[in-house]
Amino acid sequence: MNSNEGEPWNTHPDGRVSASQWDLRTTFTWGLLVFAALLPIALLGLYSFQVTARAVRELVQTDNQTAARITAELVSHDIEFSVSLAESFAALPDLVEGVERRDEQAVRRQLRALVRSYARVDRAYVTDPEGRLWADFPHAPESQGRNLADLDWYRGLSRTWTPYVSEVYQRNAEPKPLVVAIAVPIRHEQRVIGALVYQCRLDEITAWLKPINLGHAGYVFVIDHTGTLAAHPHLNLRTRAYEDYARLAPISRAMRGGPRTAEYLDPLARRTMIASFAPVRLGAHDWLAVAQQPIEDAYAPIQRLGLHISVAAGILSLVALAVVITLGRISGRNRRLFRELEMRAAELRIAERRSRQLIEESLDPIIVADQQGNISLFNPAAQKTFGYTAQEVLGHSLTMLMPPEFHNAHERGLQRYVETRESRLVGHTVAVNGLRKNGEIFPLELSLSVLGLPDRILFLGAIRDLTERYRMQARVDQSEKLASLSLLSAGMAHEVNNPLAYVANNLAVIERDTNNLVRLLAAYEQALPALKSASCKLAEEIDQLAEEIDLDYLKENLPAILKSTRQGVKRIADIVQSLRNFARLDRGSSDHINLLEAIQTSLEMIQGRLNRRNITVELPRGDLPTVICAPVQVNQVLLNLLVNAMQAIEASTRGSGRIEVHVWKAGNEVVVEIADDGPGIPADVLPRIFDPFFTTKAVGEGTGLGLSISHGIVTDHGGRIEVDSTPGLGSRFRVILPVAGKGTLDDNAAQTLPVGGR
Amino acid sequence: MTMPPKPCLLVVDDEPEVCNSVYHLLHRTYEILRAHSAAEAVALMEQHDVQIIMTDQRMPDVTGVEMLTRLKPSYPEAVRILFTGFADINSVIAAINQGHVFRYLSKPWQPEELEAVVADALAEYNRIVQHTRELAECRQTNAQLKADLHAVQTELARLNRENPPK
Repeated sequence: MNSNEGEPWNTHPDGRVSASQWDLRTTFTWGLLVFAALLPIALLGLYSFQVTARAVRELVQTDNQTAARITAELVSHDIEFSVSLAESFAALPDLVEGVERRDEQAVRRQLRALVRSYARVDRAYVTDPEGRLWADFPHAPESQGRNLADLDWYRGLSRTWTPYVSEVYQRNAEPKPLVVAIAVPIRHEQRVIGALVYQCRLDEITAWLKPINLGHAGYVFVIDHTGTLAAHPHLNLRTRAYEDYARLAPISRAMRGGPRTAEYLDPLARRTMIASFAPVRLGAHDWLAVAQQPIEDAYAPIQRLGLHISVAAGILSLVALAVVITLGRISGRNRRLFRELEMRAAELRIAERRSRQLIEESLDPIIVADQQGNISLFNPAAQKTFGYTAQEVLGHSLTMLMPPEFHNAHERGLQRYVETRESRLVGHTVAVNGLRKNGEIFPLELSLSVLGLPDRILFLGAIRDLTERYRMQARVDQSEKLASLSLLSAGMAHEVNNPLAYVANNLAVIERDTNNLVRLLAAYEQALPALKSASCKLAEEIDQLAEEIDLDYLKENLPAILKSTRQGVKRIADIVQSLRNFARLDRGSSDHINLLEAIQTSLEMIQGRLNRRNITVELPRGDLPTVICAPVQVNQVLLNLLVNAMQAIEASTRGSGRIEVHVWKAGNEVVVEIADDGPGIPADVLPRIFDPFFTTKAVGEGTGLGLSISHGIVTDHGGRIEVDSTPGLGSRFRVILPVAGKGTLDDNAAQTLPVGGR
Repeated sequence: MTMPPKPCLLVVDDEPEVCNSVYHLLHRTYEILRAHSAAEAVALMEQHDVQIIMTDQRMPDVTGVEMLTRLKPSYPEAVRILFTGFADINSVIAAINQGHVFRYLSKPWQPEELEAVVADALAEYNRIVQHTRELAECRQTNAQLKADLHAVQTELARLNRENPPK
């Protein structure tokens, strides 16, 4: 399983994820997304607002313009009507005749009819062509004869003698209405004989204006050509001072034919207005109809729209912000979760790698099997131990790894565990036997555990090959046995040596003295014939005694008996000496020795016997490593092994043989192998060959201490002796010594051995 | 016919049979003194003119080397032999360096070996004694010669005074 496969998260090339990078990227992405979503909405809102605002403005302006134009036309018509009325009246024959005649009474009657007939006519009068009033109605005596030539209407009328509408003004008489003077010439036969003037009230126009609604607070008013208000729907113009609208730049521009719309601060309403203008054409000059609405009123929909859009945008922004925050939180939580996940994943990966490594690199075999007992994991150590490759065992039953006698128990145990979850093995360490590929059965230690997965169970067996441990244990046991024996022998050797010393000595004395006695006896025997002749009785006694003790036999055999006894004592002394060597009381000092020389020295000592038995010895060639050791002792070991090899070949009774000596260096150890082609060592004997006093040689030929002593010496040097033997083919003994020696061979060690007695 | 006196050998071993055995082996050639402790050995040394001391290394009160070391100043010419059933290298070194032993034997010894060693020791003793005697003779001769020389010189001086050179 590749650790980079099948993982639901993205990883960097190196397999690690930078959370902060992810974080930044995510925030940026979300921000961009929200911005991208909001931008069209904002643009759309802005565009809608602009369009709507323009539409509203256009609507307002259209409204205003329509109202202004209609008003202007109405006013224009109305004034024209008034002018027509004046012209018609001025052409009345009765009036012309009255004026011709200058009949004040008649003209006043005519004027009264005019004033009485038309509500708009407030006061009418007639002047002569020079502008002197001479008839009026209602009659005002103080006005009689008054020269009115400097009044506006006169100046306008007298310029061309065509009808003229004056500027607006307020009558003095109560209720001081707003009026204009409408002046027309009175002609008689193409000659101007006077002027008819009446004051035309503008109330009607004002009444028309009142119902005109522009928006909520808009209205239309009319100003005359001087900028004076002519009609206004809401102002009580009678009580208010007029305002000179001509001073307002937009209005004065409009009166001169400038733009028909404008925004300005209305001085009367004191509000900013949006207005449209329409000229009221009155012939000589134009008045102006002004349709205006307070701008905030007119644009209220725009503002409302703006407000709505702002509110909508705000809400949208808030929603977006909330979304971003939520997303941020989620992403934050995600990030935390992700980090946690990542950490867990990393931990898992590490743990997985570690456990894989543990399993792969474990020096102990580890085997995993499923609940059918089929192998699903077989680590390298297991491959090495059992000799199978993983491919050879994966999917196969565990039984292939155990000797046949374990199969039944294994199957039963497995079945019982699967059914009842009870096992004698699980959770324990047991010693059982394993079966290698090559058929070898070996001891192993098995620790069985169960991995309970949700859907199945796995058995995990950790195995320890005990072969080497048993071998080591045997070696340790051997060493301990020899160590205790060496203590025993050291003490024993000393105890035996004392009596042995005088026994051997006395034996020599007895032998010498016996020989002397025999010599003495021989001398007496020469004197025996003389004795017989002298004393028969004594001679008989002597003969009888000689017969009794079997003197001839004695003389013949006593020396041999003594000699054999001395040899026996000598052998006892040799054994004791061997025991002393075994205890290694006499330790040598360490030196570099050349192994080839050591082998040759040893061979020289047995060369005679080797030649007699036709035994050839093959020696190693070339430079051999030197080792640091006690030369005398190592020579003794080599001699022991060579003698053993020689004696093994002698035992084969073939009449010839071959000893091969090999020396090689293995790491920091040197191996000396001495191989013979003798009968080999039987398997039941092999474990005992290093035991003291164990010998297969004929009685008297070996003490059974040679290999024990050799083993002890080599062990003292920090080395070991190994033996391979195949019955019928021969034996191979290997002495393995560390090149550098053991360091210090303690000469004083012997003194630490307890010695009993003297 | 009077035999020359036999050389005297002192065997020291706390094991009496060892002493007896040595006695049996060597009594015809040597006068054997037997001691079973260092104290006995010292006493015997005072009473007899001992040529060879043979001692076991391991004894209850004192080691053979220590005893030999102690005896050496008083009996410098006595030849010392050490034997032991427990041959460790350190006791051998001590025997040679401190006890000045002539030979070292390990138990059990071969009787022939013992006889040879004792014979060697006796030869050594004789050599030392002869050497010592010769040295003494040399010294005596030397002293005599010196005295003679002095007499000659005195005579020469007297003659010179009586007959002054011309």
